Amino acid sequence: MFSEIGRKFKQSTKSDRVLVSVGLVLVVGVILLGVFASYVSPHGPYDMGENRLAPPSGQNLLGTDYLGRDILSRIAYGTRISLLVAALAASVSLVLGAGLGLFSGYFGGHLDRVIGLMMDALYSFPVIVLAIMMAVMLGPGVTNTAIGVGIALTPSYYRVTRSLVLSVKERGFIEGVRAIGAGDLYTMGHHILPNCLPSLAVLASFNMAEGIISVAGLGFIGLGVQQPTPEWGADLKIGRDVLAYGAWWVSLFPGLMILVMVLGVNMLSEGANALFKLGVRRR
Amino acid sequence: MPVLEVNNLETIFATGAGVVQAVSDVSFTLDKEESLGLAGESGCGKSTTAMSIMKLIRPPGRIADGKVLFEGEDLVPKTEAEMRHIRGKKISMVFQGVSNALNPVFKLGDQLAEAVLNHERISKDEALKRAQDILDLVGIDRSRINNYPHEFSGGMKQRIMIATALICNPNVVIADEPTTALDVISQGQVLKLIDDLQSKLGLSLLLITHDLSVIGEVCDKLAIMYAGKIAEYGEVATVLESPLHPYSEALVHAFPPLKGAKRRLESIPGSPPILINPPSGCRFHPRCPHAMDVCRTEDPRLTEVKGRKVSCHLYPAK
Amino acid sequence: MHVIPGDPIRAMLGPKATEEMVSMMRHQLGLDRPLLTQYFDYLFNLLHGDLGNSITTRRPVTYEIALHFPITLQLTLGGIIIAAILGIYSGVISALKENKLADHAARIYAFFVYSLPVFWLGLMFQIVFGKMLGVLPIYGTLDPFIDRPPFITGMVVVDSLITGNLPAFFNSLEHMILPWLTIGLLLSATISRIARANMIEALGEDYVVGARAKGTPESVVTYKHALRNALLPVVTVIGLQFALLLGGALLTEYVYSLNGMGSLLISAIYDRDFPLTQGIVVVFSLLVALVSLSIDIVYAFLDPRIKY
Repeated sequence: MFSEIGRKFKQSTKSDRVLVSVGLVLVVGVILLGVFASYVSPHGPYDMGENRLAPPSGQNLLGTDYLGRDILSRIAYGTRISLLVAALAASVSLVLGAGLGLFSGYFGGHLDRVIGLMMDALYSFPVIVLAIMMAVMLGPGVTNTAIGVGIALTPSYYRVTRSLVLSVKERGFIEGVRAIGAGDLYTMGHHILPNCLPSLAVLASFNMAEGIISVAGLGFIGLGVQQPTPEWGADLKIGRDVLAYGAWWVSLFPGLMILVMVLGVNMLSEGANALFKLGVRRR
Repeated sequence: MPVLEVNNLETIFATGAGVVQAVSDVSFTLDKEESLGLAGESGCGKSTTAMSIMKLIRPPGRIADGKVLFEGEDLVPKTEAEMRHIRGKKISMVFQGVSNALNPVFKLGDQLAEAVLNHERISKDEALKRAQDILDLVGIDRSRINNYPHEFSGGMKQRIMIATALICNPNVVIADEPTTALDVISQGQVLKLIDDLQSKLGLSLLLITHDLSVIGEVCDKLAIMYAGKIAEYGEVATVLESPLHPYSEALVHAFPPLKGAKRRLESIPGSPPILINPPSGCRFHPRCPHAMDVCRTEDPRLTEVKGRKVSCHLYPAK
Repeated sequence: MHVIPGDPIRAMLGPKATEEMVSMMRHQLGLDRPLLTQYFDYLFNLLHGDLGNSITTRRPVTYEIALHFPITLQLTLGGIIIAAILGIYSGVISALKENKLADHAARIYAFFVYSLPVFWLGLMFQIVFGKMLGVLPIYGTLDPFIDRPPFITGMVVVDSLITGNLPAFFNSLEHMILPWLTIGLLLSATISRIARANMIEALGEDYVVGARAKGTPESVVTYKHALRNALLPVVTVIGLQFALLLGGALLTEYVYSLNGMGSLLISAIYDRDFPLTQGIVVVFSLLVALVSLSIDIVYAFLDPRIKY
């Protein structure tokens, strides 16, 4: 499999290569930051200090917030939270969406129509509104945010999986497999699912970006991850609150992290999409 | 003086895979009120020659060498701004009717009027009236100037293309495959129209097609192209009745005669070369039944033989 | 026809108030009746334009929404216009200079903008233009000391213009510049991409060669012939991106404290005002459905090849 990736890489256009490489660097960079947060951070993310709303200095490279907490430490540890929640959300939506898509496409009929209708309704909704609704129903907090955003992102997985299932069905070998006695679950899991994986992987990375932004957005409004847990969006909320004091550093750096991460993920997924010629549509 | 004279034209395309020698050392003349047919298979360079004359070749293609003399003036060094005044007004092009050469979102009248307004300072209404007049000439109902291109059939669109080319009374008309995509009946009608208009308006016509019978009906002279070069060039009757170049001969025999004895349709074995690295020597030698050693190494030049010009080693230059 | 998501109805059944309040509220709102009855009742009322009453203000939900909708409209329309101008312009330039430096720069820019969180962009604009440079207002639709125009359309910019209230007009424009830019930039990235692709395709079409062969000047070929064809799908894109636009509008309203439907939704949620929340969500979904429908009609209108 890796040799095939290597081959595709060589055959691609320069711009695709740049996209994938830079994207990969950014994403890996952010992940490493999260992993090595404790080494990078001079202080703990919860440590309050005397130096409140201090601009960037030797002591606090990125400044402090209104509780005297070091911004650098907060965004470094915040990386873990944001990545965790985004990954959880992605898993939820992947499992739900792909699962529903598999069943829907495979069995067809009334089930397909009903689920399809529900998914269509959800799909045409602004993700943030859905996410807000989920947050209202489930409440704030890390896990709930992940589940909520995950559910909000389900429809696109559903669609992609379903259409892939349908195209596999078209190719006809499903009948053949069933004819030799394979059960439904086995057919779906063993034969159909592997065909979907590459496209789903790319879709997952597109949605990661959306997931990260949605999680941050919820945090920004105050419905997502709550203080004092370090999360980029929630910290941006603080930034908004201290806007009047001219403390630009509180807003700039968490947002910059979101941007870098999302940019990296977008570049990676765009590049991979073009590279492997998967033609996954972005939304 | 001939109205159009092409001398040693060379047009190339610099693609990623290599330089395509689309047109090499092509020369012919077109006299006033004369009609010249440019014939050959798909990809032989005839359309590219036409586009080069109009200087419509865009990067990665360009005219690498040669002269295109229109009424004595060389067009090759002319700027876009200068060519603008020639295109449509002095030399115009008739595209294939089934192509998308008409913009689908604009009305017919507006597009015809545009052709006039590009060159003459008249009012829009006058231009539209001119458009209607020209539609009369090609046999389309005047009232249809408010229709859109998709509302016309293939044959009618071909007439519209002819109308567009004629609306400014050009001296030279280049018709690129005007009958190729049409059914037989429409073909006959369009050919007759072209023939009539040519004599009526005193036009000089360059007719591009792969169909020799079309050329036989309408043209005075004939130039047969192969792989970007001219194989044979002379009066239509001369070339068609006794073709000298092996390719011309094969081409003529590939067309079934409408009258006379039935005979087998002969096709030419092999396929035309890819022009990125054309074969050394004569470009036809891999498919030529009369190929000799010299054909593999030396490119033959156009020589005057028996009242026409041929480029073949069977008829060496003296 | 569009399906109203069942979820907000379930949301009504899980308030986080005291038990007593809950049961009282439930009874008052008729929520202790069977779910199906409630649902049909709601639909029945909906068809009559009745979305219930807001818990916090005690006024009809429809009234509250009508009050706040125009500001969202003002924001969205302005955003679309800016996005269209920015996006189409950069897309066309990109297409014309395909694979040259300008193209790469424009594409990188579009990519970058696409990855920006809209709320952060708004926040940054506020900091830079509001706090640091102090040149533009960053909250609300109008300065408090300016005479507010009467509620005609509800869009402050339009109303002040209609009533000839020039100080209010210019002031409200000032207030809208940053929000419009924020939301416009976001949408412009997608538009730029589509415009570029379509323009490149259009420039390769036969009618471009045909126009040149008629002696048409190159600028006319580009901007009249090619662009007109390239622009058609852009309209569709705006429609498809409408959900994204609404989401962005919601966050932008929150950031700039504009009293549109987005802000209303957020405050309704915080106040646990379920009828209001639900009503807004219903209106949102209706809007999305409406826009999807109209986009098809608009496209058919613009493309002479389509008969409807």
